[in-house]
Amino acid sequence: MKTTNKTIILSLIIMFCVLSQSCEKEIKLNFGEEDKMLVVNSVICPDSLVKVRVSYSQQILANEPVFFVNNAQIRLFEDGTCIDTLAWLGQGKYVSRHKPQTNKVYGIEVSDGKRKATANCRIPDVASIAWLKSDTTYDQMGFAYPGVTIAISDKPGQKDFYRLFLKRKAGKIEPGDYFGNTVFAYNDEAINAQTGPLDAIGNYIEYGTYRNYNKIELVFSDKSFNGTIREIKLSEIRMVINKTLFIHLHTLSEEYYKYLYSIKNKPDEFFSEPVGIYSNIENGLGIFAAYNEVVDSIFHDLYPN
Amino acid sequence: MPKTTRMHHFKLSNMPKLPILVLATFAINLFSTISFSQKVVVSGFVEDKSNGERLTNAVVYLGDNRNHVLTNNYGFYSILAPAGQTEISYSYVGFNTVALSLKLHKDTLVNIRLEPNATLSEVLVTGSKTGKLGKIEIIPSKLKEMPSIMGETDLIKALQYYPGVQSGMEGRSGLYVRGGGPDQNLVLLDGVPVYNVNHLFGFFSIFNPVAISSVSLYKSDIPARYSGYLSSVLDIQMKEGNNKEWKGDFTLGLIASKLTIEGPLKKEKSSVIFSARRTYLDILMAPILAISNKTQGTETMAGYYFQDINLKLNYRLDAKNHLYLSFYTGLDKAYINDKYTLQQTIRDINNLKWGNLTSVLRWNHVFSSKLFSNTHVSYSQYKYQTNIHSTVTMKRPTGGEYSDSYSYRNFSGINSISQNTRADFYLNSVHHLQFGFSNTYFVFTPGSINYEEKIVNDSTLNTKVEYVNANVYAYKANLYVEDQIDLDKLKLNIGAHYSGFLHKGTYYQNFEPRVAMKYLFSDNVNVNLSYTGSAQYIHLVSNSSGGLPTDLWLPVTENVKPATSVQYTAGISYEMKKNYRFSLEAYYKTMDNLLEYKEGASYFTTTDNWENSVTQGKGTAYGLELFVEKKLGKFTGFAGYTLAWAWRKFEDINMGREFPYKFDRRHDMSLVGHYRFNERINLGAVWVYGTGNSITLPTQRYTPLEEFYYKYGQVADILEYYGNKNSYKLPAYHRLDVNINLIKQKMKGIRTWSFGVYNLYNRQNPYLLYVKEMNGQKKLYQRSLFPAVPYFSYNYKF
Repeated sequence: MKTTNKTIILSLIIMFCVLSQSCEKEIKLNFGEEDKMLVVNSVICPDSLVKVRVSYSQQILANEPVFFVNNAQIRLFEDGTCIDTLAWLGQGKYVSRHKPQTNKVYGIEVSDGKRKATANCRIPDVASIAWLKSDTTYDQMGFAYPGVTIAISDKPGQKDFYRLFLKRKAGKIEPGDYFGNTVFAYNDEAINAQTGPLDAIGNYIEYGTYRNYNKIELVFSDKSFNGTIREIKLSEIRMVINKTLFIHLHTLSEEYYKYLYSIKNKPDEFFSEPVGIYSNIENGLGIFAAYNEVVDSIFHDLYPN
Repeated sequence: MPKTTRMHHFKLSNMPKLPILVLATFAINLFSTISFSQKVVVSGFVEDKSNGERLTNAVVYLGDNRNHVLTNNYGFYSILAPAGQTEISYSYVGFNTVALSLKLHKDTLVNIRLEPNATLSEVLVTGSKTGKLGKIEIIPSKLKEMPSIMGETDLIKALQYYPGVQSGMEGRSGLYVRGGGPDQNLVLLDGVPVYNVNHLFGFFSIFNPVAISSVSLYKSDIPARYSGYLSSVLDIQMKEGNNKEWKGDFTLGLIASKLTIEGPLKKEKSSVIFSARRTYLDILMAPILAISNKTQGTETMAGYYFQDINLKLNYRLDAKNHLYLSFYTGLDKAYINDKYTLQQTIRDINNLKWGNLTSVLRWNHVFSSKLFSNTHVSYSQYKYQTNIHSTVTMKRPTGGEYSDSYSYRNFSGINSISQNTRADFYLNSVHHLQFGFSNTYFVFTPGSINYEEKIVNDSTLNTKVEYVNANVYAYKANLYVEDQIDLDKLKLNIGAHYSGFLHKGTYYQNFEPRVAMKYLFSDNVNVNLSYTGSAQYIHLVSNSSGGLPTDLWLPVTENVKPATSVQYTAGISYEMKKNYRFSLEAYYKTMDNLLEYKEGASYFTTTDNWENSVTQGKGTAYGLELFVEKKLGKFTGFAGYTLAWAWRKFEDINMGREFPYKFDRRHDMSLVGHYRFNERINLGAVWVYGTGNSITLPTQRYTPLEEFYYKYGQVADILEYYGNKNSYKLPAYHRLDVNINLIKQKMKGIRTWSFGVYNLYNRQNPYLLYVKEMNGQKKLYQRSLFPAVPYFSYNYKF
């Protein structure tokens, strides 16, 4: 019996000693200079010169700042023909003398001497806003809540992708003029409900400075309304200081839509399945995409009487 | 308003020509073989002589060994024998074979009792006694001769040593069969589906081997009588109980103890078996907590345990009627209760519990020597519950005390009640028909939260909130027929299963054809071919690798379609001197409408509408399995090797590109050996090797578009580059487990001391990877779960 007890006690001591051992081990990720990839980021539209920013990717565990590529050679192609070599602006930025044109296919070829990355995209047609309607509602206290309905006339027989957002000032917004650039909504759920079964990435919401006020931005495809007129109603729009709302409707190239989609779905929870960010850069990372823009405005006469 | 009816089925044009040809052959053959003469039917039951238990899958041979039948799940057999002098043999692994020479003039009832052979050293687990590929059989009583984790023998882990069957994560009880997921296995306990087979987050399975008589796993060639899941069927039968004398079995292990009592309620007529198992980590922790409480002035009670109770009663009404009542309940419970006093006294009671409950009432009836029926009604439940209760007691300024309290309760689960009728009809020496039907009614509880707050001083402040996802109701109907055709050298199993599923007015139906063919080139070489079509109507919503109690079963809906699969297999089996068996099998499986979380979604984002968080896609799996087995002698064992590929393709995942399945394991190998020195000492060893699991690991980081890179003048976001989904392979998994059993005959029984070590050479197998920052430098680390873990257990059989 004594032997049995000793065996049990000894086994328990051994077991707990072994379990308390550290089972942590470092894993080496083999990442050399040759594994670095060119990162090419550029979104082009007919209103602007073609601009490209180039950097290198870094090892995931690296703690160093981003390394921009300042010695790259970037060639711009229009419908397969080289039309320009981009000029360096500093900090990995390059600019062309050309503005792209609607419905033409543009390509870039980026080389740092060792690596060569390429990509193509087409400038989509400009979107068509069929009509706009002001939908202001009033609460019991008589306060006005401006709303707007935007009717998009979608082209039949082709896949279209849209991005819709509102601004309170016309033209280019100066950096730092955050409130001039942004329109807020009090309740994003209300907007979700009213936009209906849109094949949208969702309310592409960026949390604003003020609690509970969100910037409105919708990114969606025409999957559910191809070739028809689709009304999108936004309500409880806040801070319409000048009473005029500027509606920006972008048509996106498919690459841009996929990129935005994957960025939007990037998880922020530990248990979430990881998301690969879309890239159309051959032999590299990043995005070379295009959009076209139509801007319309509506005047909100909040208290007509 | 008319209800939507969705018809979802295998198109006939999609069926391969082989099954059609075989079906045609079968139809012609069925009628051509009806004319028989000079034959008599020998039928009856095969039982264990020592305890009266009926033996499943015992082999009944006629003279030349070629013509044979297996006993069904209830020990019944029926075989057509030539009239006159005939030899019939009865055999079962671990038992002496009985050969009878009978003079037969008419249909004859022969009940046989086989005697266990304690000295016969046979394989622990066996591929299949009849050389049928795609099926694995395990003898639970022999499992204790194999190494285990912490002394707890586990059925599921034993199955994971077989080619084509993989474990998911280290130590887990999940079954991943031929590229399928852990939710694609139909697990039946005495014919009742079990919805969660895990204890302790999957480190142990719920099946207590002491209470189990037989285990069969079908990886392919799944007979038509089984349906509802894509990848495999695990059919487990509980013991009936000794109907001759009272017996017991007691095991004391490091983390759990087990007790089994069985005996006759009425000798040879009725018996009972009761088995219970409980862990005692909570009891072991109690003194440690007591010391901690004493030194810190707290009152904390915390612990975790799991338990299983199996109970089975059976009663032989007469030679033709037999009633069974079986019951299983299992529970896992983790709890923390504490009390601490500052300016007020706070008392917290927190617990998390989950478990299964199954019960079944079965009636076996022998209509004639050729017709046997089994009817059962059953109930199965799985539920998961979290309870948090807190009471705050404060002193009144005027004296005395008052207390406020709040409680939170979250629960989810699944319940099903079903009727199942099955018949075995031994038409003639060629055809053994099985047919039946079943009806199942499901109640799903997708999740509900109750919150209640009571303020004693002011009842107007009391709060009671309930967030209830309404129960989901569904109905499933099944109808099947299968025929085992024995044409001398050619053995066929042809069947078809019709299944229909109704949920909220949406009706899905599937026709699931099954064809298995075995051709005997000689007495020891046979070739197997099979085709299996399957459909699955309930999905496990989970983003863990299986085993979390929060995993939720939910039915197909109007938007979430039934999953379907088709599997083709071809294999060859060679038996050498009845001692060695070699088999090689290739498979190709396609799966449609598989369910996965969308990228970026998780369990925590599915509380409102789970359908929005999931997506459906396709899967493909193919591979080659090699199996070598030594069945007799002092040394027995087997080696299994699998070369496999498993792929997934979802429109919403990985940009629509194909990617490797999480458990795509290119190489998987097991070596299982058992050496019997003598009656008193035996040694077991298992070595396993597997290619590392596939994970999605970021390897690089890079800048996004400027609109995301800079926000408010600051660097806001850096993107991570993952490459293809699941493209990073973890280091290979391997380990060696050994054990030794010391057996001694005592005055009133047999005692066995078992000693062993899990992961003998202390291999640090990766369990999870994470990044840690030290001195401003980020590093990637892996954590391993089990180092070398010694264990012992003590068993006494009386």
